[in-house]
Amino acid sequence: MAKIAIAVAVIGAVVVGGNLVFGGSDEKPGPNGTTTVDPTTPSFDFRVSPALVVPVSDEQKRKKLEAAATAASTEVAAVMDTIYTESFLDPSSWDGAHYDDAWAQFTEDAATQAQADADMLTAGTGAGDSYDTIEPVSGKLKPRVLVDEKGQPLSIMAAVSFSARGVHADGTSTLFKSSGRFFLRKIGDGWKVVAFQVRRADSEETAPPSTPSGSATPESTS
Amino acid sequence: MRRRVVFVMASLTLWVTGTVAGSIGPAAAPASALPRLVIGKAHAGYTPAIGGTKPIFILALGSDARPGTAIEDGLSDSIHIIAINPEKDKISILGLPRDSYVEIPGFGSNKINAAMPEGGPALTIKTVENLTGITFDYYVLTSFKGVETAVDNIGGVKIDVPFAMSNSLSGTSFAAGEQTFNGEEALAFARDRHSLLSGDFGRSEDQGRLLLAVLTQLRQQYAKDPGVLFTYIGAGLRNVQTDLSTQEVLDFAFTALSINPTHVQNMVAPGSVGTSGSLSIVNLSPSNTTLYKDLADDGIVEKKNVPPSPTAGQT
Repeated sequence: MAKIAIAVAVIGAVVVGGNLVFGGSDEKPGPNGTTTVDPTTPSFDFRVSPALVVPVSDEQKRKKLEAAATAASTEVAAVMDTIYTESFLDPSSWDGAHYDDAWAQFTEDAATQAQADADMLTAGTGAGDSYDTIEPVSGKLKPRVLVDEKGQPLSIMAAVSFSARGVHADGTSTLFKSSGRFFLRKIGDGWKVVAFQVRRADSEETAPPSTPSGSATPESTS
Repeated sequence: MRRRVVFVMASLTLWVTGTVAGSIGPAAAPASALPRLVIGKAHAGYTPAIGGTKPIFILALGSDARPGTAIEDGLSDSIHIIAINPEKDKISILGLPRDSYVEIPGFGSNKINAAMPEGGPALTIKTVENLTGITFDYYVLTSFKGVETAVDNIGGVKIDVPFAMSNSLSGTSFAAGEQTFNGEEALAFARDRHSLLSGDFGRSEDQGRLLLAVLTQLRQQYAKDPGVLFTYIGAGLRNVQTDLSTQEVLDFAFTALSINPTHVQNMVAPGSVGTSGSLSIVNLSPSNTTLYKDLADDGIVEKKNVPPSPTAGQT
């Protein structure tokens, strides 16, 4: 009986240990290929506005276009969720500056430029040394959809604004602010980024005081 | 009293600088998270462009078809060869005067604009190919109404009018200088030849100026809001007839963004005004064969072959 208990314990330890080592359940298919997400990654989804459709013919029926554009926008939002999760929120990406799962959402040429601009597009190549945690603050996505002559979504420009807070070991933090315009096109089964423009306006934040302190208003000092 | 004022001033200075820099320590910093240090605004970007070394030739036609008439049944009163050299990021625009007296394959000699009512864009392409030796990859055909609506759809176009224009037939009444035209004004600018000393030659150059102004504006607006790219593409495609797919237009639009407008040559094929029977015609200069050959070669015209501007002397 004791032998059986030991055997169960050993098997259990191997299974649990194996999962921890190999990340068994932490691998999930991303929009473009398999994405490995650290289980401690905070959940994040862009809040998506209704799609704005740009028709290329006056004959095209607006309602049909809108339905197709909405469906395509949902697919594109998933790609953008992956890009920003992998660029800022997944510790397995930023801790070691391995942003490959984000670059996989770009075409080859766009990915080459994105990697060269990694510090602008991600938490940074030195993020692992700087932050203890990074949590999302907000994310909005406005899709603009160009349809083709058959009324099918051809390209989507996702205008995104994103912010997240990276907390340093001393309790201070950095507020990441990224606003971008990403052009995506359907390539094969998935949407990929073919062009982008991203601006960053990060700011450092002081730590909230641990105890109440006196107000430092002009009135109090004068 | 003086010490008190100095103290107040010093305190205010400290507060102001502390608020701006946000870095004077817990005593002055509010409890909430205020910016201590702005890391800086930065941007990154990538725009794809068509690759390869082969120049791309597009024939841009403007039909005089009035509403209710098929666009391809009108005379092609505006004829421009647009050549894109993707390798060197250059565009050349060569206008052909509508009265150019040329061989229309299968129909003898006539004004070049008569090719379209005889055989649509296909015959016009064949005629221009026969004249220049250039093989076209695509064509774009629009109408008066198309130009007007497209310009309105992009919110007008800013253009630097090189000289004052006033003509009741086309509807121009413009001072020289930079101004923003709505669709109706842009069309009037593109149609007016009576205000121009060089007549149809100058008008053809002005039509090139309009194309160039749209490209310049697209680049400027794209830098601020890339979403305008779709607005321009939609406005263009809704108001033209073309054998370009939307996908190809998108590829060209991205490529156009990478081309500096100062790298665009806007030219008009030279010639002289004459008559053929009762027809007022343009006899294209025999030396144009060098110009056409140069353009056909790589989509760029060497400086020595660039014809003088027909409106160069007009003020």
